[in-house]
Amino acid sequence: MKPQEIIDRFVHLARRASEDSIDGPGPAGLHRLERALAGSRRPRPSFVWIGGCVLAAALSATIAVLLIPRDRALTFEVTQGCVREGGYVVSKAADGAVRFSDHSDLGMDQGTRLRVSNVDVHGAHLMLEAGTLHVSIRPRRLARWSFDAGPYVVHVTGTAFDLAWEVERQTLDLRLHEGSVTVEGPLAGGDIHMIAGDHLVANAGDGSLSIVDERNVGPSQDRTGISAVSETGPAGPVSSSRSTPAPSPTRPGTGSVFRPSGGPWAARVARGDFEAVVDDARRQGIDRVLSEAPQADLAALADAARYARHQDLARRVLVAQRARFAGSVLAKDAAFFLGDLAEGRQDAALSWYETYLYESPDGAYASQALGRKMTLVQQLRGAEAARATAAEYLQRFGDGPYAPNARKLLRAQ
Amino acid sequence: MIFEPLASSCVTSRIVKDAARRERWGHSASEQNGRVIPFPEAGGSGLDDAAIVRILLAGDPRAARVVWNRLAPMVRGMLLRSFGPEHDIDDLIQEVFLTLFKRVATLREPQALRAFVIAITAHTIRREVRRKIATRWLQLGTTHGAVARDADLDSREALVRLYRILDRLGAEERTAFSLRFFEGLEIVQVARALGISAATTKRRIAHAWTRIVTHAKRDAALVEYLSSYSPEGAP
Repeated sequence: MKPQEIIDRFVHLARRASEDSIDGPGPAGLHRLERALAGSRRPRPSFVWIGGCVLAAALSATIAVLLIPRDRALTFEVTQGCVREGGYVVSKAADGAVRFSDHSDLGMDQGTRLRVSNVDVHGAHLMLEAGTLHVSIRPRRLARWSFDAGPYVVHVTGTAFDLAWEVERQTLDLRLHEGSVTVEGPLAGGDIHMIAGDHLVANAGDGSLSIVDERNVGPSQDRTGISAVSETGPAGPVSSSRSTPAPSPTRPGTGSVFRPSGGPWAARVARGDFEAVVDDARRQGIDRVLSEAPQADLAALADAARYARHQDLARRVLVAQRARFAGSVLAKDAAFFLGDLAEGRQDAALSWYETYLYESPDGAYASQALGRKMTLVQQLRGAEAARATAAEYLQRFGDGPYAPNARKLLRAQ
Repeated sequence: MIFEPLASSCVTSRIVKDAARRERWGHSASEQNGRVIPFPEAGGSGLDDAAIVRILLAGDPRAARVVWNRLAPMVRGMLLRSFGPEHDIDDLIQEVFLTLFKRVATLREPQALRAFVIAITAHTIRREVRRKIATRWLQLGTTHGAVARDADLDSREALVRLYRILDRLGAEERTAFSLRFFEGLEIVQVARALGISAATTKRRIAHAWTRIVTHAKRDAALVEYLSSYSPEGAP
């Protein structure tokens, strides 16, 4: 769609909406204006009165500023360990821990040495001198955590992993359980983006590196897991639970690690290069991308395909995302987008929205999913069947975009 | 001559009007416990802009009604299109007219009344956008997205999303965009209304255009809706 068309249609829509508005500038407005004008001709209040008002306003503003909740830097406490000056923590038992005020948690094996620095509102910078950490970072918007381990730096937003650094052998051992991280350091081929299930072992001495994929591959799933979820509708809510891990083949060095060309896809999508991202994915092979791309890149590809109206590709990517990263926020969100893409198949769309609402009752798209569910139920099963959803919608999102329709449905009862 | 109680209503307004028919307009006397409101019979529809400015400057009691009848639909339409149908614009309309009454003495060319009111409305829009941004920033309250009434569900949702995109623009860009595209003003007229140069106006409009298109394209459902939207009728 051309930019000019977008603007033209936006303008037309806005103009039509303003024309449709039945309330004109009626006599009440004129009456109010006349009264205001009459009031403005009255003697003006004295300076003492104005001064009092200004003072009261200033006082109110000060109180308001003081009362507005503001983000504060995180704090932390240490159990089964000792803290020395400069945030130097040494674990004295096998269950040592550093707990942050945002509920992020670092378990420490006995003897682990750690320095906590640069603690701010978004996270902290931690330096693992030696030992093993069991990290659980609470996902938050703008979260910023980094872990130094020897020459390596692990960047985290919200995730869970085990991190060990052996000083003598100069070996980094990182096992990622949830989310994704980026590892910087003396790595052949540059930074490594890791996803849940990856196990990285890197040696700073000889530069060797191995990444083992320890994701769960169940009997009904192939490597991409696509067969576990149908594109025409969800088989059921996806569980985040895992069965016994079955290690898959080792990635032989960085040569086989998936890396999008031209920079991270998310950044290119943000710049509007949707077609370029889709082309890049096709060049690398869609099957390979679906089975190897990190979650962030897969999500970016799904966005690019949706925006560029490659709907079949978007569906494939979203289904793969749900299968490979079951339980993650993005995988749950994929259900909503799959509902959006199920155009013309109302049953499938409804099923996806119900799946999304089941998996993410308070998700970012809950309002829209519930509103669309209401509409679809009305279309498929009639107004009577949609009333329960309408009532739920009004209870949860009383001033949401679907509220007028929900009220209409309930009024028609 | 009639008296309006302090707590007035629409009924009062009608009584005032009926009484004024008998009294003819032009009275300005007042009595204890009430105000005299002369209600003119004529709406001033035959007056040109210069004549309206003259009665405004003269403090003529017909002025409010005449100006309101002539310009309120335009002002209301501008505000409605700038903020969406669900934004409460009654206060803003009052603000525009009170400013007009306050500043009409600074109008050098009486024939330019309409442009003068457009400029006042543009400044009111800009101030309101700044207020909305400040409110969001201070987290003192949530600003609700616009929701269209009496429209089908899809166009309502599309409108909500489009006004959310507008909410991402700065006050200057948004006002310039509204004047140029919603009101169909020329660049020079927009520049004059905002008191900025034509080059700056072009830059702001171009920036607003780019951001709107970029954000709109990121919303697949919106693009889909707009693609199927036919200006001749509902999609």
